[in-house]
Amino acid sequence: MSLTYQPIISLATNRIVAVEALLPPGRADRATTFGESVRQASVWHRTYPKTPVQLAISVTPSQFGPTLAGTLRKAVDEVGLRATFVCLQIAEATVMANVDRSVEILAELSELGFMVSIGGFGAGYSSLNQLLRLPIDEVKIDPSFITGLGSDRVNTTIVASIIGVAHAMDLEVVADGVETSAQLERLQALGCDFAQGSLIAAPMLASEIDEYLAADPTGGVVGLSVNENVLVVDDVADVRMLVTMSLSAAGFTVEEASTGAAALKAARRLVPTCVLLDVSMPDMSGIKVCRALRDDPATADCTIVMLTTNADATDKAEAFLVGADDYIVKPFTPRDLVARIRSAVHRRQTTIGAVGRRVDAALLEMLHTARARERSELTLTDAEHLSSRQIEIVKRLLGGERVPTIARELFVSQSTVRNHLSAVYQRVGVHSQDELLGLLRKSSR
Amino acid sequence: MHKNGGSGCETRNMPLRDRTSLDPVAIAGLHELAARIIGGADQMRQLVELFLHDTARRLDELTAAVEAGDAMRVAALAHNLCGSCANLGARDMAKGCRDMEREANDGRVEVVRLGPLMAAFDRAQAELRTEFLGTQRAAPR
Repeated sequence: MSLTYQPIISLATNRIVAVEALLPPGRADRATTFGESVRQASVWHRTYPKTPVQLAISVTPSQFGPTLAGTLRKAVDEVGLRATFVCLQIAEATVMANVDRSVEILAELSELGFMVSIGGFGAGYSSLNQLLRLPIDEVKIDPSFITGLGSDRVNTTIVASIIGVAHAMDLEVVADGVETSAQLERLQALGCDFAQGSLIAAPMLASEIDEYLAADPTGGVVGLSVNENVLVVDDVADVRMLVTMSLSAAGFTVEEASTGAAALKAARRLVPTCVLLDVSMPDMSGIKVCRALRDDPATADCTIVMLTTNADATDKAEAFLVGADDYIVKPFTPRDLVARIRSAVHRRQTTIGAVGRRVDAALLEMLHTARARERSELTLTDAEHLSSRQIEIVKRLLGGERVPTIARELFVSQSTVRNHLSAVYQRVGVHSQDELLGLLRKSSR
Repeated sequence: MHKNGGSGCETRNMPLRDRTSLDPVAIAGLHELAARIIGGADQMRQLVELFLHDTARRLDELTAAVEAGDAMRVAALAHNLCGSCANLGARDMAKGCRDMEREANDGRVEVVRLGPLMAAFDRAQAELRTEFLGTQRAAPR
């Protein structure tokens, strides 16, 4: 079994900033972990120089001794990796066992440029006073405290104090074992710097980390959006199970629905990143479900991927016509499925997120100036919350198209267009189409 | 909907005895997936059990539809079963389903023979059991 790597993201940017090398259960050759993971990290640094990712490695109590610094230096020198790209995680108990000796080892590591993180922070009941005086860079909060975050008052207070004290000492804070979005939101609110856990991404093979690093060749590491949840809709249980296994192995959170009606309900509740939709279901065809998802302003921006047994071109055309982003023909291999979903999600998010907004910047700017003249309440950020579909409709209105034409052009019902429009009115603070158009025309003059 | 779904069966002319009824690429993909999940071997066993159990039920439905001469239902059932079979690497079953779907769609439900599909299921069942349920074969790396 190879080493696996679990992504650690920045809570400020949702981008991968580090990966922790993990030994598969049952493999006992800890000694080779350094060599293997450092070599892998150096390959990533050479292949993706614009997206440097730090390597986090755990140091065991037996490794934490006078020879540690020398061993590590040799390992990074051999592969030509800078020591600052390696963060050593040492358990609180290991460090506190003999503080005087630890100070010497830590000073030596720090001298060589290695980053040091104290793992399982808080679990050892050590004196914060002593702990924070050590030459370290980061503390990693023990998963046991994250579990009760938000629900248990004592845990929540402890996490808040750790973050507060660490920041006061110029130390960064990683939360380990983040499993729910409620925990993540709380950590964001408390100003925690980094997060790791099954909610964000499960440990994965080096080749899968590659996929993330390769996904954005222009610069920054592509983000693992923390709420990448997929709704799997198929009436056949074994297909659902295989899809769920494949996607969870890749770090997605997966929910299942076995009928079209259940899918629509679940999609409204979850607003998933992606809906994977079987075309032929007994109660309601996937095509119908797709159209309904696109018509509902709440789910209009989800990535929708259709799953079918038919390679028939007319089916494919129909799927794209109702707004599907991609079309996968069964059988699929687990790897292909994940790759197709990732790229569909990435494409859609780039379109509606970055490109779409940049393209529509002119319109946003118009809304902005218009509002600023009126009451100066609408900020650009508010306007950015208009969905791509809403922007499209407003642009068409401005271009002189009427609701029935717009509905026909966008393959939606007239009432859907009107629903989108009332959402826009509400956001912009007007009450009618005339008022909206008046405002926009005034500002464009 | 009435056309046979794309991929033809390249193994059509190969003598049956000399090969497995499973698709080695799909099977390798499943082993690889199991190796990447904690408790993956157990989950894969559950998946195979689920597939075998569900397929037995769907074959009963298919038999009933063939006996009733309900061409549309035969086509729909065969079409859906095909996807599951192909995902689990049951290649010969998937081919049997495609043939049956085509015949039913051509309105020739009277020429539909259940025998070959049933035989393919027996074979796939035995082979999938050996592959995932029987000996604790390590995942290929």
